[in-house]
Amino acid sequence: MFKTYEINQGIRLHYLKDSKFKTNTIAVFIRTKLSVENATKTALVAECIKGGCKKYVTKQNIAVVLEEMYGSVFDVSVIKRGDEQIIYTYFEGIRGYDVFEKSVEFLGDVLYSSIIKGSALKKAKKSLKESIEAVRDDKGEYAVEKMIEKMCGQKDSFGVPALGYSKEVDGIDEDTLDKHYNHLMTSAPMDIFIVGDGDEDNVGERFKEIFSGARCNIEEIKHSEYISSSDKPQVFLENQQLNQGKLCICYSTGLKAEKKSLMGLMVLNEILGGGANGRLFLQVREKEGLCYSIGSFVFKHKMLLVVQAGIDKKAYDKVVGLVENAVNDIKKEIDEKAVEEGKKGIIKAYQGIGDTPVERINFAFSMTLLGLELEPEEFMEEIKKVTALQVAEAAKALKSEIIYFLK
Amino acid sequence: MGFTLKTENSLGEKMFITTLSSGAKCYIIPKYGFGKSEAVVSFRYGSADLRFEAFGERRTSPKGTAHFIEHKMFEKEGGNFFADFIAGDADTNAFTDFNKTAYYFSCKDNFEENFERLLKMVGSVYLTDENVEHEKGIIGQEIAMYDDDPNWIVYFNMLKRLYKKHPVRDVIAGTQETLKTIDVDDLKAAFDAFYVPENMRIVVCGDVEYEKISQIAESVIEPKVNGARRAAIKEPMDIGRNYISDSMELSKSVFNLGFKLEPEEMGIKKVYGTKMLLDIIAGESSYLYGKLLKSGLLDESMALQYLWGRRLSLAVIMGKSDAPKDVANCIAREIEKLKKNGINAESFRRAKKKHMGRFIRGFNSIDAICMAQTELAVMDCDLFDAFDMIKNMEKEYLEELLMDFDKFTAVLSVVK
Repeated sequence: MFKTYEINQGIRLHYLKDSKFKTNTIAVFIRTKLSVENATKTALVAECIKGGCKKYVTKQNIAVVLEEMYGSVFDVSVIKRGDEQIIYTYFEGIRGYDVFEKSVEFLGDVLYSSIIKGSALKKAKKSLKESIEAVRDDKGEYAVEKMIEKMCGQKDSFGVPALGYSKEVDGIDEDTLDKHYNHLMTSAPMDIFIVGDGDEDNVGERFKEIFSGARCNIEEIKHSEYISSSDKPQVFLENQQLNQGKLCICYSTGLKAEKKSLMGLMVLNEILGGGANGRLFLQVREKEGLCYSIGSFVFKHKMLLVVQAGIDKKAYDKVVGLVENAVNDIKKEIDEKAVEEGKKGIIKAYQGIGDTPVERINFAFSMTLLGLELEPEEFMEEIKKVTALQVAEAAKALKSEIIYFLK
Repeated sequence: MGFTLKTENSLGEKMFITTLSSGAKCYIIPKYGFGKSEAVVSFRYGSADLRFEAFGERRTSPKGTAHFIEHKMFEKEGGNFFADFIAGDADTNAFTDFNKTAYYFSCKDNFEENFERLLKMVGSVYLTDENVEHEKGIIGQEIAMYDDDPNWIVYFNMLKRLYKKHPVRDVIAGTQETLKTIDVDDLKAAFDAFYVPENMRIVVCGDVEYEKISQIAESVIEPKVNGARRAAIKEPMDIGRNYISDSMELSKSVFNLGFKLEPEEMGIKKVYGTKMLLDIIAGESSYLYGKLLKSGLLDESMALQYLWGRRLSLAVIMGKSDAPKDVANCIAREIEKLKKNGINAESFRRAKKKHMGRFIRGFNSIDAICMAQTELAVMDCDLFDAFDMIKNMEKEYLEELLMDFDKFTAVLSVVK
């Protein structure tokens, strides 16, 4: 299990010693409130971090030093979880050959001496705008993003895109961005997860040195559930002349993202659309032959359930009807057998969670975000305890908020 | 049953290899401390194997046949194997590429039971006119999904221009039109011809006993005559037009620059050598990428792929740019420069370090081990052979391979 301790104000280090891997993995999560005002600036800071620093000025320079560290992997991305926007910095390098020591120093360089001006900033702006616009090219991802944006509107910050807004990028000047970068490094809560084989105390001391910059006024980030405001689902159809329609339907629950109700919703999700045993797969694909891919997933912080499918455009009405029927059936009745199968399905997925460092870290971070502090085995035990009543409560709470169809 | 035990002490890994009496070959890599174990059963039969002779009959399968069989494999009379694997607490899936079709599962518990299930599943295929017609609806949607994917379109457009006759030019799942023509007879003929133990490669990785695994395989796999002969692929080295463009209203153009290479002397050294060479030419640390980044022609680094198979040797450089023709010209000029001046020793040293490190990293993941070994099993090689190749790679060999890169047998495919 990860051992956690604070290495600076608002910076926690979580260390897991695991000798079975060939690599050491470090993930730094810089967390901030997702907001219309700051989303673009935060995404632009991430782009600057990725693009180079005082010691390694360009991406090519970074690539050279990574090659010297035996092909170590480094990436910076921006993700959103509930009401948080997170800069996720990832590093993985093989054990031995002093790679770990060099990697800690490398991370310090890229995170703390990012170049926020001149041609570097110009390049970062270009990259960010392209990344924002590229979301449109992955039709499945685009459909989900647009659905959330339309559903949340102005009332829930969850609707703010993780990368911010393209039209704002050029208007961000050097001073404003530099201030924001300094604010993040000074006041954004940070969680650093490491899966490695080094001595815990040595690792802790080293990271304390690297992350020893001034810290104050640590941001407090609160999560809130999505609150439904309309009686009927919104329906949006967007025409992009596709060969296959992308259907997304979002259901709210109004439930709090607490352990009991979250577990119930997760089991419900597994029963409905968790894979080849899910009702949607069996009905829409296997029985009716109307799709190749269909499933559902949960936005845990917002306690939202999303059904997603790639379908024949002509079959839109039929598939929406089949999904509605599946949901209504589940609302009416859930038998014990379905609940047990749903639980088994989730447990099966989580049995392998410690099999790669990145999955182990992502799991631990998601637990941190949810305030659950569960190890994988404990999480699976909680799933085993879920009752048919909990699942039925989640099902009854499902309310269709929006149907988004990209065709 | 005899086993070959191979060890790689620097990695702390070992592998047991055996050939069963039926002709199927097993690669078993024990690995402990992980939550799940995995098994992959593959057949050296892929989308490119359209023309063959078996049991005295010459056949040309409709495009997409191999992929269709893959879909039907999970069905059985009165049900499907998905449900059985789920009941056995396993996750299962499959895929088809140009060279092979692979079926796999992973699980924590009941490994031997699921392994036996997988072996039995691939021993026969349940086909009726009705279930074949039903599957066409599902595969039709899969094809439509790929038709909206710019990365898929740019790739297959490139292949169509590079290859005049080689079946690699055809989309793996076929087209909406070819899908309609597939019937039970086509599927059964291909299955009977190619799903034979001699074509079978079994890879298992995890907390397993190698002797027990091979005993199960030995007892379940029924001997079958390998009666199929693949038709020769006569593909000329010359290409069609060297540029193709399509429009999907993308935010930024995607491009694939493919170099058709001599398919002779295909082997594991060539595979790993070409991958290393591509990295030196156009990888993230390359002089070329630095130049393209500085000029604004590229932002993100390029993806590099080496595709190999029967009469197939293809290097592809993929990326996004507003000016893909300029990027392609820069790449071509850089290759000529490297041919003339040789590969920089420093670049080679670093590339070798990178490939060694990335290879070691692959041993973190049971799934990565299984997939990489399945790929190598097509040419009867193993992962430790591959590691040796990387460690012993020489700059002069890469310079030899470089001579085969010719802009006159290269195609630029763009989707805007």
